[in-house]
Amino acid sequence: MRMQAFGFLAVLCTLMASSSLWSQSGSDIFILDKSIDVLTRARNFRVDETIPASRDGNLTVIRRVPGEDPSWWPQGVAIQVLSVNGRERRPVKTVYVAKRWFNRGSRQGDLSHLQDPQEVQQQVLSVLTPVVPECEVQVNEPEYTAPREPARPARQDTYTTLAQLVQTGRTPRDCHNKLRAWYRRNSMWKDLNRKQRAELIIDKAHTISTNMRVDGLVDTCARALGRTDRASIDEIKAFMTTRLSASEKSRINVTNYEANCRRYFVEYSGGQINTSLFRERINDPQSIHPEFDPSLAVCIIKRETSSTDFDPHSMNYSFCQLRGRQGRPRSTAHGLGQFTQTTFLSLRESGVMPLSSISNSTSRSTNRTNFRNMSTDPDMQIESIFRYINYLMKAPSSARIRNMHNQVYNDSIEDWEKAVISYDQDRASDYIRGVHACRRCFGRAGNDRSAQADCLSGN
Amino acid sequence: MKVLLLIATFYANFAFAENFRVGNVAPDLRIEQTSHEFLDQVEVKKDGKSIFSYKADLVTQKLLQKGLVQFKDKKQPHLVTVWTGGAHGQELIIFDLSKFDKSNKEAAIAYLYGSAWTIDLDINQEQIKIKGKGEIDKDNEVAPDQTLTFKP
Repeated sequence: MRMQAFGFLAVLCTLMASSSLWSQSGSDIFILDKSIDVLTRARNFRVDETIPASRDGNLTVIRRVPGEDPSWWPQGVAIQVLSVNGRERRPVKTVYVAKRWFNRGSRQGDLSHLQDPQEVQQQVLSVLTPVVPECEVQVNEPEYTAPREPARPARQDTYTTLAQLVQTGRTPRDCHNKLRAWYRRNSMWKDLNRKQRAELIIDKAHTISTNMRVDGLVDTCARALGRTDRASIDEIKAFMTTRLSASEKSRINVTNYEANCRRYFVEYSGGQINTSLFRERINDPQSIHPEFDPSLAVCIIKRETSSTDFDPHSMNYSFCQLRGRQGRPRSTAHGLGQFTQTTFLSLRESGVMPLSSISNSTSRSTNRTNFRNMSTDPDMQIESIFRYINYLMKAPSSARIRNMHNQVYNDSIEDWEKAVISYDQDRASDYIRGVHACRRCFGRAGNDRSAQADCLSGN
Repeated sequence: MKVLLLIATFYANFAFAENFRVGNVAPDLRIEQTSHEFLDQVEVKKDGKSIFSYKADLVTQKLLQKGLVQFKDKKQPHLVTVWTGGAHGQELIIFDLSKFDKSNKEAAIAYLYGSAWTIDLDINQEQIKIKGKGEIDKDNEVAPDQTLTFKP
């Protein structure tokens, strides 16, 4: 009960302190007790998002905004999501939900009407004021324990081992069996089950994507301020790391680089800001696209390596089937992202894929070695997926990519869809549908990492 | 000096090398492959003058195969190209040179096919047979053979 009060109070305090949202009538504000799917874009019935229900006292709070009801959807109503599981939503955007659902939810208690949030806040405060000063309440969330990762093998290049192994299979079936037997006996994740592997991947995806966001912001901010020496970069990084909340860090992208950089500028800097650097730049890997999200890499991993239970050593079975064919590729796809060496080298040599664990070398021989060593480095594999997806979201799309999208959906293509279709060359509509379903599941899971791992490990 | 000349000759030949030429393609037509800022470009030149060009959108699109095909009853040849694409896979793009439009680089595209697998081509003056693979069968993990046909 005390935990619930803390969570609730924290939401109220944050919102009251930072905006006038709650100064309006409380009659339009509701606590969400069941998750809902909302339309996030006007006139677009396919772009939806699942808003998770309140959980363990961490409230999801929505506000009904009758003044913004959609004229393009007479059966819909407009709402704003003020907080999700105790975390404030910024900026507050208007989204749409079916009128019938909203009315039924209100009747059946899926939505608890908050009559007067300020009064409730006062009541809670009066109980807690002697203990906790006003608006300095901490949200006590359950502690998250990162999954343990098995040690990496001493021999880093398992790619060469597996590439040689597939040459020895007499038939495709024999070749598949040899690969599977190798994974079973030698994989660095052989002692982890499917769910544990999924948890590890989810954990890495969150960490890596957040690091990429922060690094992108720091690098761009340093260049915009003309302070690119090591000491300045470290100072900017320390500022961003300590001053931005976890939630703010997880939302960093090119659209808020300037605002975040100005926070540092106001406090520590002076002089000029080169704002042109805050625009989206295709070939600048530090420019993070607004639709960049951990779920993108996770859902691509699901599509690419589900059949091997997300084994980082995964070698493309196609190599087993290509004996004697004229178009045999020079290298085979491998790892969680199923990169071929050709793709890896193209991205490295053009500078669009810096990787945090290796130097920014554009030398072909160094990067060949890096590619082979990536076979025992799941972090590098996941970071490669993120870097490539971020590049693809910003790059122009070809006619074939647009056609493939139009065969499945009859609305305009979004940048993340373009990137996912570009990632896999198949004309398989299953691929994009699968990623859509996986991302919807991810959205429903909210901040629950175990539920996110279920989205990856489930069929 | 001799070595430099040899290297220069080697690269000049490599840049113009075609993988195939089918039908009665005019001998003065040549394919040239270049790369600008890591983006591959393919160009068809007639007597040294450019009559067609196409530049890749992505740094990961690398031109693997190229050739000219003169189909029967067609005035201009088609340019057949195979590119790398995506994290893994290939993309076939066939261009009708007669439809080249400088202001719209996709106007000349006559056929497109992408695959996570390698693409084999069987070309004659009537048609191009594209041998690829379908989606992997989830039960036996084998991708069935798939043959498609392009006729201009």
